[in-house]
Amino acid sequence: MNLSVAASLAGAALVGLLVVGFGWWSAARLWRQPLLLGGLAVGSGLGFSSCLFFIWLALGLPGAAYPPAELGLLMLLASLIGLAGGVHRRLEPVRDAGAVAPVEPRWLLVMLGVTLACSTTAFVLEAAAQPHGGWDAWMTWNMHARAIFRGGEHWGEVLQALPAWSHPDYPLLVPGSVARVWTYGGRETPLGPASVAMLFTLATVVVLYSSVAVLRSRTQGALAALLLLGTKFFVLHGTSQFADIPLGFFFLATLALLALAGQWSDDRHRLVPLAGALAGLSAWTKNEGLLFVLAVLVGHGLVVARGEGWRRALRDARAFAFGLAPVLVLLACFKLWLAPPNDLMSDHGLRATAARVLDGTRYAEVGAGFQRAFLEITAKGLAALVLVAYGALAGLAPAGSARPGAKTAAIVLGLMVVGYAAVLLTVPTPLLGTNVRSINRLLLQLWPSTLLAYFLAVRTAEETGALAPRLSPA
Amino acid sequence: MTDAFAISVVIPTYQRCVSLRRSLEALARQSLPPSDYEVIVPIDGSTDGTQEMIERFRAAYRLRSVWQPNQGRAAARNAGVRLAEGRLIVFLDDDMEPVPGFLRAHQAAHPPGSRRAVVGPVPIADDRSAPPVVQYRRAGIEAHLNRLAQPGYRLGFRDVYTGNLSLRRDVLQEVGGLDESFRLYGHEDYELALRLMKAGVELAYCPQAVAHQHYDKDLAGLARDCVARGHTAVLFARKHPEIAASLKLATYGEGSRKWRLTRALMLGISGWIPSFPDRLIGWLSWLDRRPPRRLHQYYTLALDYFFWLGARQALRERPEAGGSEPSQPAGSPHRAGDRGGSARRRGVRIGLVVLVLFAWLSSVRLLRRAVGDFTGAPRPDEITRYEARFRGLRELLPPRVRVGYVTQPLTPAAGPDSARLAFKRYLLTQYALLPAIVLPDKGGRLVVGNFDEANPIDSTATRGLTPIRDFGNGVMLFRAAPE
Repeated sequence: MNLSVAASLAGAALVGLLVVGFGWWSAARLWRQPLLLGGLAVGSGLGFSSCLFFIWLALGLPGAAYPPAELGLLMLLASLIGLAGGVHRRLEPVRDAGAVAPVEPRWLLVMLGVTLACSTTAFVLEAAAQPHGGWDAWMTWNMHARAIFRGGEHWGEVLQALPAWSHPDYPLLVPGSVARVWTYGGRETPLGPASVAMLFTLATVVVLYSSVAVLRSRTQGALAALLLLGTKFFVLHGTSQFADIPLGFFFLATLALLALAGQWSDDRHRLVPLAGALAGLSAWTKNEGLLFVLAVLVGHGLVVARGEGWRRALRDARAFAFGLAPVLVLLACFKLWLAPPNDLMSDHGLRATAARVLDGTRYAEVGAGFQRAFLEITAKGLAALVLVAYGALAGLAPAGSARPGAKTAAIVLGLMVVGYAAVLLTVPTPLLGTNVRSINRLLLQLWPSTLLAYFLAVRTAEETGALAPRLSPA
Repeated sequence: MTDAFAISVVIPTYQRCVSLRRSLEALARQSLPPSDYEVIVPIDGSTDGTQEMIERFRAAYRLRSVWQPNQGRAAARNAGVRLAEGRLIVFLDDDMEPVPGFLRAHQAAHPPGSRRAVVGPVPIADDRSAPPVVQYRRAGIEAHLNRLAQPGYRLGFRDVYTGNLSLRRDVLQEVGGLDESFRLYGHEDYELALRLMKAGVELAYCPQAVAHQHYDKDLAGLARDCVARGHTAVLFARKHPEIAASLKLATYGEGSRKWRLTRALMLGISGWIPSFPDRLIGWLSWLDRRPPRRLHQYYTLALDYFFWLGARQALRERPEAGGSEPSQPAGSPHRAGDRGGSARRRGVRIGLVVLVLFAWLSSVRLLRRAVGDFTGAPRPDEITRYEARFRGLRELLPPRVRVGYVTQPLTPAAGPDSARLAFKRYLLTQYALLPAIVLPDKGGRLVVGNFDEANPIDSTATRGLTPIRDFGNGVMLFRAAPE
């Protein structure tokens, strides 16, 4: 791998580690789950570093000076944390915890390893076959990354000048990440976007596995990861460098952190703001992220209010907003000063909207689009069939601390689907066909979170007695 | 051991301090002289101040207590019996309020030389203002007591309850006391009665030995008792397989078809949704507040379900080592339950394997496709080749310039997808030439020409344009003629 690309990705991961692993908002228990911490650090690191890069450029500072500044700052912070014994202090409980016995049956572990190897190899081969990614990747995300990288000090003007078909109003997490990687090496390389895409894809699998493992059991986590790795549509879209995979990562990470907040009650005041920040990063990835933020506020609020009362729900909402606010401010700055209006938002007069909503043919078209997309993601419905059959055999998980997390995820996913359908029903007619064709990607964004909700809600193989219970992780 | 008292009253208690005090006060009003009896209270792990209450209680009779960690009523009663010094043991529950002639009636029921176990009535007061669940229990107990009071009725082991029972201490010790493996509610009395019967002890009913029951359980408490009874029924049947056929356990196949189906469905749902029993209690409690006409029928059905829920849970547990399996009464869910449990486990195992294989096969298919795509893909890829064509032009163009775009008109040979292909060519041109902005038409002072290498430059497309430079491979730069 190109050294500069490796350095930029390592820098991003370090940014993520600093944010997720240190500071008052960092949950000490995350350090006992190195995989989860790593997955969150890599994904969120790419997001946070793209924010930093955007701020740097927006301040009019030269792009070429960013890598040394970022690395210098990281080294300084790392040294300070090291001097303060921060790493040592956080690693202590990990050492104290001792070795955790492997919980999966060996054959399951082997299958997970083989599937991971197959999917990763497939990813690499597909990425090599189309290094610039799929149509949407180069037409939108990499095009924007080029505008930022090649535009130099005039990057904003170049971005604004891009034709409407390139959607210059789309948020900048992915283009910012890619442009940042190129800035590290001082040149464009297809390895940049491909590496970013691969990290997000793998981080999604890692976060899904580790969060389900922590919340339910490792076997359950392994099953969830296997299903995700076996979703052709997911891996192929990862290689295509579409922003739907990073978006799916942030949806998943947010919901996983909220579920963990329900389980680790003493770290709740730390995990909820972190979840807010990651939800904010989803809005910094694609406009759908804004809908997700609303859905999470409603879904988590309802579940917490019902289980623990409105006071607790309001406190959580405040903590969530605290983490969310900085990223939303950044997004607002971008939308207000840089981005042209969104084409979906045009032609939204009351009469025109009402006419569209009352048009029955649109419902049929959107419904058929959802059906096609569902079948596409679930391998002609086979994956759904397998999941339904397994769920029927295993049954629902007993009431426990993972239950609110599963409920929140389910409500949020439901609201997202309803929200997507509502947008599609009101979208201007010329855009309807294109948007209906992209429903598969909308559902793909929700697929990792769907697996999270499913495997949190379903009994583990140990609970059903199908597998002997083993030592659970600390 | 010599008998220091005529009677030892043993009242096991758990978290019922107030109720116990009422029982102790009622025992102070007995017609029997206080010197003739003692009261022993085994405290089964209570933490509600029972011990302190007993220490402060001023009684004319001898009152003692013994505390033990919570082990169940059978163990508590045995602990009380171990302390007892009376000839006759009277077991009383802690929610009973015996009438003044209670102990004298029990004493009279055991004439010298008799080997009897005597139960007395435990009626619940008829209070119309009591919650529906209490009235339901009252009706049940009343029916049972009426049956016991019938002339000539012969008591069986299922008629015995230890809430108001007396028997000689030596007889109790002879049969080994109560079986302490019954830690949960229920069936320890049946089990004792069965052993007493086998030891030739006569079971009798004494209608004068009345202890009024102050029933204070709500529906949830009653449901918990029923679940526990289901558990202990299985334990009882395992210990005494010869009587399993006469237990409620053998009645699974009885009742209306509609109810059996409903119950099976409810038990199935409970397997999938562990919170279902709580939901059911919540629903019935809601009904409590608006009692419908058939509330008692609903209670009966729900409590039947709770019993089978407990029984099913117990049937799925492995019997303790040394425990013998009961014979299988007809219609019992015993084997069916075990078979259902193991079948489900097997099902989950198969489901797990299917799920793993599905994921693995999908990834293998994905890998095969990726290998095909990789080996079949042109090298370098389309976009890289495209970009290479425009490299020279890009280096020449000033930054932030807006250039026009011209290409040859579409031909029918390009096929139905020609519009999309043309659009893609334009997008790729923009992608290659950034930061120059490529306008989709001839507008702009400079115009980029993008032509197929195979085709000659079309004269109609480039009309009015002055070629500046030909970069080869169909890429040209033009200057637009001034308007």
